[in-house]
Amino acid sequence: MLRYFIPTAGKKQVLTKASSNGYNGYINHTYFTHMSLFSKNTHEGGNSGAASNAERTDQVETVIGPSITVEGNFTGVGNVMLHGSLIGMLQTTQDIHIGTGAHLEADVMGNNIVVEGEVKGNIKAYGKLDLRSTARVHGNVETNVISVESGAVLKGKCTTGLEDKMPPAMDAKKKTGGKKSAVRAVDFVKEKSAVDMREGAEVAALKD
Amino acid sequence: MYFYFYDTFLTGKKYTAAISNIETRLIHLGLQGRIEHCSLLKNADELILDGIKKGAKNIVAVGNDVTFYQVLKTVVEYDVTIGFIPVGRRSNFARALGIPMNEAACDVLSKRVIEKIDLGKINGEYFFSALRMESKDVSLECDGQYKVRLGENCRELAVCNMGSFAEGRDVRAEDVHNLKDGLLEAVIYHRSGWSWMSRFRRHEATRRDGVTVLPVRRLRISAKDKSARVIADGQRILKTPALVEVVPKKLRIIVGKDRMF
Repeated sequence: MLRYFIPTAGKKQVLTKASSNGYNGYINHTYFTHMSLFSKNTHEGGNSGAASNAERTDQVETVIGPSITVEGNFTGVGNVMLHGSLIGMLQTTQDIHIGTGAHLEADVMGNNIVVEGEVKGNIKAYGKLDLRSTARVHGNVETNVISVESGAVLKGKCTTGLEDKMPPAMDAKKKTGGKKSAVRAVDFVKEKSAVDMREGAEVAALKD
Repeated sequence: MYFYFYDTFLTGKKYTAAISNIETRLIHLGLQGRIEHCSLLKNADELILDGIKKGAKNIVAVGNDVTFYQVLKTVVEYDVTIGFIPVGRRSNFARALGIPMNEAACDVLSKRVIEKIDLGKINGEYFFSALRMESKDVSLECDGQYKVRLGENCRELAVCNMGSFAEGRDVRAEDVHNLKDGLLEAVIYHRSGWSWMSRFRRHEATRRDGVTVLPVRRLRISAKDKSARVIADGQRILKTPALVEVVPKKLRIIVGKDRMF
């Protein structure tokens, strides 16, 4: 169950987890906790510095609220929770939750993806793709495991049993820093475009 | 060598006992150093820079959050370590850094647990805790990759390094962001949809809009209203458009074991 931050009155503030994938640390957010979705571990209260890094799990979280519109290529390295609008591309090495009321005109790529809103674009989930009853997907989906609730709408091709592994490009930022991770990110983009070209060639060959 | 920078307000009688205890404790711990009192006739920046020129490698702010921020702003470009002895009743920075109030802070100094923490930079000026501005007609360009448009329900924008603390309230662990992750968090607060009627409709869920959190390394803030202002650390006012970026591990600071990051 999601619990949201009630801003600035200071009446209720809860904790989210943070990621060190590329960010090398832990973030205490005054936002909300949705640990039931992304993780079972929570961390509350003050930290003792000595134990903090060891205890923290690696989950930087991006939250896009309902009044927000994002345009462009959004590349995150932590979990992403989206309740607003996004036009472009959304990809992360971790999990994605597209909430009810979210509206995407974008290709989505992530590990485990939960869809409760509307997506016009292709979805690629290296782990599990969960289409809830309010999901409206207009595009192709590729995933390893799929779960579709009654009422979900999917208009496009569905491919399951995906055995590809998540590209490690973003994980490199954590250890090696900016320059090397930029090089690996470029390699990832090249690899993806090469895969796309191969797929395109195969489709063209089939048509011929 | 330690350099102790005392703020102006510490000359008051009610702080005499506290200062005496602090100085006694420093002597017991062997942390004596040069002491300079800021006053109306002395420029704080000049005092601190003079101390650095004379070889001080540890600059200790003795006072409140404003004192700490003053020292931080002055020494940020120098290769020194910053310490803090908070005097008084409450200090948000001290709580976040795990430093107790008054003479107990001297023990933290003596243990010398040093952390390299991130700083934020806006239009070439450093900030430590957060930037705040109203989010009317504001657009953000994040990391040169995507743009964010704020809707009508957005109330306020904060770009947090350490965190945005409400005045008059003790900071808690959940208020403090990670100071070592190499990131800033752009936090957009949404207006709550709570209404008076909903108080009486307990069977219905109260509509609450949360916040938007965007971890960024570089951010460009633009506002349609030319008079829009960004407030850095609750003190300095800057104009838009503003280029905000994180400077990872810029500052060496002595922290306590109960730090909140």
